[in-house]
Amino acid sequence: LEEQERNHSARKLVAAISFYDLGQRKPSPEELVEMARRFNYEAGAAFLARLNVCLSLAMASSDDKVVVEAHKKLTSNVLSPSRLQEIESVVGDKLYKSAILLNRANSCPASNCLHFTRSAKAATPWKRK
Amino acid sequence: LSGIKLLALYAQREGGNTLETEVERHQVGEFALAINSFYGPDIGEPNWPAGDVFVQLAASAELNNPEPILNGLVRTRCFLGPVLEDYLERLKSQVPPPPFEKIFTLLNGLNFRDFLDITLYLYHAQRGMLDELMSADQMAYIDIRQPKRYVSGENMANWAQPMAASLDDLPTLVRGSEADIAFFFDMTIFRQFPLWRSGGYKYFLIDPLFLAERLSSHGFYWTVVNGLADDRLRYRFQCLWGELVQEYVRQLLGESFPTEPPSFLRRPTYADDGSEVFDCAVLLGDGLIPIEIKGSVLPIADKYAAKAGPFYQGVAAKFGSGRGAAVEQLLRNIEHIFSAEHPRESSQIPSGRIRRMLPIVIVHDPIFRFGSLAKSLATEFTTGLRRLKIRPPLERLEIYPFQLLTVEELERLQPYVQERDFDLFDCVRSKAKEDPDYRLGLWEFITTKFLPATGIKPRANEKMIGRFEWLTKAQSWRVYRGDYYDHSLAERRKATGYAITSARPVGGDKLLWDEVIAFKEFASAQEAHKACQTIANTEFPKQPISADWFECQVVDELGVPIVFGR
Repeated sequence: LEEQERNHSARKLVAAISFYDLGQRKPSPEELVEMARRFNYEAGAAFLARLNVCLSLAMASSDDKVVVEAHKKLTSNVLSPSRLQEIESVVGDKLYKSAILLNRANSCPASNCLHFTRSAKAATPWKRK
Repeated sequence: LSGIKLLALYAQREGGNTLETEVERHQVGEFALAINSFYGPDIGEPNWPAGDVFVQLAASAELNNPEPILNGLVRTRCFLGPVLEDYLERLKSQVPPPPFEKIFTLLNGLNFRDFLDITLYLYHAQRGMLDELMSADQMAYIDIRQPKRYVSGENMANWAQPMAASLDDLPTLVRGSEADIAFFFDMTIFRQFPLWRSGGYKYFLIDPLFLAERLSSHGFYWTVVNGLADDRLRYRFQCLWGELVQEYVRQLLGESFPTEPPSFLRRPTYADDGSEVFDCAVLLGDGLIPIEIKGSVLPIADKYAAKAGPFYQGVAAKFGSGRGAAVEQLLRNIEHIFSAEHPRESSQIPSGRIRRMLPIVIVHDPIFRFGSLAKSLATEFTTGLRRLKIRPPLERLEIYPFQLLTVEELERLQPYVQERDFDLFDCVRSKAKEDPDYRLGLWEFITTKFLPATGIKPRANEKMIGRFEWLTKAQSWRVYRGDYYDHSLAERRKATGYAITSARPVGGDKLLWDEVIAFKEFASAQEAHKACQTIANTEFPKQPISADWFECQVVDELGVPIVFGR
């Protein structure tokens, strides 16, 4: 605990991978709503909540390796192989480290907003169902 | 979480993509790419204004850098214990605040410590489940109809209820829409309701970090505010919490600076009317550090507006040059004390002797963890300073660049100040030279630049660590011995005959009074009693805490004392 406290590091920021990174047009708000409409509410919300729990627990571990592993596994589960390959070829070795697809709350500027600040750090009682 | 908000507003209640097949799940990735695209401009569009992106980064930094539980929990417990006690003592004949803990207990069935204990217990229990949840595609939930060993169904329900919403409630709770950029930054709905209720008896935790936030002085504040039904009571609690933030900061600073000669001025006042000059100040030779402490929070609409305009207007109103805001108060009182024409006197501040001044504002709102936000307040300070009519230029008074610290940063800074590792004036002078544009907050500068450059080794706040370890051990013991369990409901487990030595600090740190820990388990009461007798010669306690002595006792697994005899 003492070691962890002594080495409490600077703030972390990561960029969210968007269509911009893939050289594709940004969807309009109407298109985004249309995408949301295709999901079943209960199944979709539960699925996204589970992703969020895993990302949140990975972050809580404060272990970069755990975080990267969690991103890797969850991302491959929600992308088609071709899309994953496309992202890998564009983002390269930054993928899962300083550029991620799934973010706990995505309140993180997309990578096209971060170029002006390159110095930003790349950033049981429970039952199962 | 933005995706969940969109689904709450627009997804189909019957039918639609139920994510059962791979192809269906791949739509989630496309959805994520689309959502991420709303955090920046389209191809060919100009960059978003740097100011807007900057405040978006602040929101992101707040979310992605949660406060460690260590700082958050110790601080909350300090607020609710010794800080509140000291505050009430100082009030003397003034009207005391309403008994918030009693009100909270009446409304929610748990007192403050119970609530924090159960939160910490359930958070830790889920923290170890990452691998399991990842590999099994599962969610974890608590079932109040089938409580497990340590927390009864009733206590679980009391604990969960104030933080839970059902999936059916979400659509009405979501604020705004995708047409407004703030929609993608404001996650308050999940902060307020980190649990989802299903069928009235199952509670799914959907964000463990937002749950952990409830242990901190920020999250706990919202737990109480949201749990109070009356607006007037809410306001009174907000005022009280602000006072406690101030008292806590004063205690931290009071412990940090030399007492001989006395350098910390707890609450310097004017000689003429007894009103406060600064919230507190530090006097070091010919140097003065005037300090304003702000416990208030930035309104959510401003904080997550994702636009520079409303964000900075909110910052200015609460922390900048708005009437009664931190910078305004600093400037007004600097002018009074150092006025060219009619200086006001304060017996604690020898203004004629002061040659250097380092103004600091200490804030509680976690958004300021993004240290670069100090720049806007520094600009307001510098602008205001130019307008002041302070003493003639012949009398040298060097005013150092304004600095901003969060309470957490002050907790981290404390051991360096206590150990006199460096002089704050020297440090700020270096910062002004190396980082004149405030790209870094003061604490970020200290850890990333100043300490490495000066060869000072990083220090931890050992007092906080000691307190945290003791508090969490005491919490574990309360949970383990069954304080939150309904013993009438089920058989607990087979008797083992084990005896446990427990220990309670007496005197010393008021925070740890009544915090009993289980020290060691023994196979028999005889062995435990022997251990009690020799405990003074062991390395007990292992963590640095302050106590006059320890009361040790041999107890059974339910905490009942065992009197040893034949």
